[in-house]
Amino acid sequence: MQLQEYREIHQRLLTRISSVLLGQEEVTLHVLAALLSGGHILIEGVPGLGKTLLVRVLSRVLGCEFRRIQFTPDLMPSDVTGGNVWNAKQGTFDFHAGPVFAELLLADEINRAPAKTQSALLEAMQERAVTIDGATRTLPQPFLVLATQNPIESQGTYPLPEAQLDRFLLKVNVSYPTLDVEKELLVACAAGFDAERLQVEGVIDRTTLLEMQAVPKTVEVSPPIIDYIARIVAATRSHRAIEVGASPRASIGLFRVARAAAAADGRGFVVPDDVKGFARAVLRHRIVLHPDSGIEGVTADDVIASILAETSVPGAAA
Amino acid sequence: MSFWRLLLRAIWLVGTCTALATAADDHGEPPAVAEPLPPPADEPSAAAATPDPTAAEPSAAAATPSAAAATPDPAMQAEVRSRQTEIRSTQAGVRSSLESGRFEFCTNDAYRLWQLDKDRLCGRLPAVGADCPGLAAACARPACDDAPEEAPSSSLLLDLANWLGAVGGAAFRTIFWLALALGALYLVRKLVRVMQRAREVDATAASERPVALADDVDPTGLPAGMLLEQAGRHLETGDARRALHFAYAALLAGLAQAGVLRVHRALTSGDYRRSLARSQPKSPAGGLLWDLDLARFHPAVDADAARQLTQRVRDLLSGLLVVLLILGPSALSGCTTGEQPQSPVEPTAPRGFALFEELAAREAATFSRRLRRITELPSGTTAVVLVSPNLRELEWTTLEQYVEAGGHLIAAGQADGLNSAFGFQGEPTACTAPIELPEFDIKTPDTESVSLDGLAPNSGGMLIAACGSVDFARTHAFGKGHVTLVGDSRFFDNTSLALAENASLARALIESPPGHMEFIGPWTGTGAVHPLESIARSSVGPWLLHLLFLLALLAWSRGRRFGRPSPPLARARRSLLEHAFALAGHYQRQGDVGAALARYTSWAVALLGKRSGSSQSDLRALALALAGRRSPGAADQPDGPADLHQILLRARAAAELGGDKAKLMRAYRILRRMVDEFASQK
Repeated sequence: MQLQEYREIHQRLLTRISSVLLGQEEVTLHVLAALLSGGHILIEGVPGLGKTLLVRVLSRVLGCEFRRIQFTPDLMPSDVTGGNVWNAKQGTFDFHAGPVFAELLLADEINRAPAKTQSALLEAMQERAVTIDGATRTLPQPFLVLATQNPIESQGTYPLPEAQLDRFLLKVNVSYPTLDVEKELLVACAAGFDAERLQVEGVIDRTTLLEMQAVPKTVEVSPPIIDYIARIVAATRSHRAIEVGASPRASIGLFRVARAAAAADGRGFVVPDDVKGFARAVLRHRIVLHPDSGIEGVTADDVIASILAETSVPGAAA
Repeated sequence: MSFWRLLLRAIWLVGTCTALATAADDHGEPPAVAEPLPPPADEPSAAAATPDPTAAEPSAAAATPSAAAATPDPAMQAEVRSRQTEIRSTQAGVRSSLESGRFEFCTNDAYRLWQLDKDRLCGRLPAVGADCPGLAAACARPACDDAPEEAPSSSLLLDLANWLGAVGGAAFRTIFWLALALGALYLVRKLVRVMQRAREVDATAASERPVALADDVDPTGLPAGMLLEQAGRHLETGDARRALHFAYAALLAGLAQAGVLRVHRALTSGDYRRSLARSQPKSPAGGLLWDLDLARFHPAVDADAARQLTQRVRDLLSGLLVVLLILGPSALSGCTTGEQPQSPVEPTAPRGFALFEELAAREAATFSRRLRRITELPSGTTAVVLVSPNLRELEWTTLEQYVEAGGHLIAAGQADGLNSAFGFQGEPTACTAPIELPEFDIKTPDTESVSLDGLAPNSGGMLIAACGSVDFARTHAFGKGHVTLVGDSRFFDNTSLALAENASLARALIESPPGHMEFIGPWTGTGAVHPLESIARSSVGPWLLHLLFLLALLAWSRGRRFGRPSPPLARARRSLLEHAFALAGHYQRQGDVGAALARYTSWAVALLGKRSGSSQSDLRALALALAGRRSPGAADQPDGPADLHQILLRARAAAELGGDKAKLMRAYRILRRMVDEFASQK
């Protein structure tokens, strides 16, 4: 696939999703970038902002098989991966695939399930395969997980451990829509829009998606940009407000996403804006702040912003 | 000896010496009075009555009738006329100063006057406007608010300060500055340490910071033109990518110089585009920045494209330059003086004395405006000009001694203490008419509502100038010197000197033998000799008293012990025995009798070993020493040294071994009894 074609398809995807999910263009951009980079996404937002709707629309426009897992405290790992069930008639164990065997998986409220269940999914995300009773079963291609988290609940939740959070390529924060967007939404509701009975035409299919995922790998990244990426991530390891900085996985993640962003713009090369634009989403869930910073109300986004404001852009020293 | 103790000793020594030396000065030792230069030998003998030739000039010009005037000396009149040409040149000098533009009340059409100045000047605008064209516009504009000057109020604190100042000023000053110096030194020391630490941290961080790549060009380092030149040079050498970097930097530099963009090393072209989209939505600069960015990061740089982009940058920067040239002056002009009123105390304000100072500086060899208190005058002072000062008695004494020794004092306007110091009497009288002198064209800026002050009638002295029937300027002999009195200090201010030949007359009034001239006015001594005076002048006295009162209330509320060193608290120390019992009880409550017994046994063995003179570590020897002591009637008795030895062993290891509770308790009772027996022995 050529870059121009990639760009056009990307634009169509964006337009189609934005026509349904109002006022979340940036979120959609990030999600698409992650998906087209082959990465998983963690979406955090209060209830009612359209997280589930986004994933459903994505599945429709991408033409992928979509499954949803509602994570609850009593969810078992086998509820995620599936398991072998005894078939009395045939006297054998039949494998019942779990919802993880989908191309697009929505893991809703992942922080409500215990660690054991979380790790079952996370293992699948990393290995793209599940091992059940000694048998390894490969997950379909593409396999993309969109996990959601509710930031306002702390009772009865099991926060994802930091080491596991690293598996997500991006963490996207969904915020409240603006007043104008909310009014537009109400107007759409009045016109008969119903999220439950959504009719969205597909834009691409699974094969095209796989082809699109290969395109960013052709985007060139010059040494100054590589240096820029490395400097940004390295800065997280020496910042005074950060206790644990980002790992090299973050550098790789930022590298991949920047390429996807460049490809989405129809370019075969990355510019600093591509890196800076996605740095926050790539890094915010990979750093651990000092407890003092938390007490002072400093957020990961604030810290990353300060790092970006201090890191010189390639080609413009001062 | 530590650093601080050495420092304290040194400062104490210096401070003591300073205090002693200054105290000697402050305690009434007459300061060295500057001996004025003797008058020139060719002065006419009439100088005995009029000791200064300058005093003779105006008297010669005082052909104006005056009831109190003495008969002018013809010789002096001739002297005056011969010097009039020289004196008249003074006004030319003043006019050139005015035309320089420094005195905006004269030249700036946008100038705004204070109400007091308006009242004084604008009523006679036709008369004064010719010499000061800017005044006409200023009179037409509304006046600034002019708060009435408050007369200095005498306060108890100030009187106390004056009294203390005479006695202990030096001591207070030394202590105050000493404390300040110590505090400053301490802060500096801390600051140096913090900076050293920060430098170390920075050095560490710098060593870890990756070095910027060679492609980086600093858009803030050079002007846009030079960066563009560099870009052109690199294009010629074939390094298109480097040329694009310079072109990008040149565009940023140009936009920064035009004030439309803030350039920072961490901002990308996308950030700049967004910023320009907000501030300059129609500007092509944003698009050009993006195109440059795309070109310079492209894997393959097209030389033609680089050339075109560089040309676009050049065109855009040229456009920016034109905009700057057109808009520059107005863009750079801030608030004009006309919009912001000038402070009335500024030297170049209408009521300022900048013109007089310039005039006096030309007249004298050296000239200075006196800020410090007049404890002494510099040597070689030939004239002292007073303009409504606020001096103390000691300072008047200094001036009195100066004049007696032959100095020339020119006192313009009223001053408390002048009359009593020099024996003048009477209160000033308002002028009844303008000052008229046959040889000088004098204009006064006074109006019908605001008039100049003349001098009090006085039988002595030589009249120099009069305003109607009232003396305006007069000279009096005093000791070896003389005092020239001028009725109103406003005659010497900028507005007055700007008019007609007033400056010439002013120069004539202050003319003295060559030497140093001191200019003393309300600004003299506005500082403080000691902290109390400083506090009194700053009017924070009531606040301090308030604070002291609150502190006193606090002290009272805290009780009598507040501020007094409290006796050290009697801390009851618990004996080791009590600690041991407490610990044992804790273990017992936990049900761990073995652990409790083990700890008790350790302590008991130590005590028994010491008291019995036996060993604390060798339980066999201890058992031997203790076994012989049998308490009659005691229920639990060891069966000999071997049994006691076993008991001690098991008791000491009870924490690990545990055991039957009854046996453990038996061991405890035996040990307890032995301890009690020995404890009762002193």
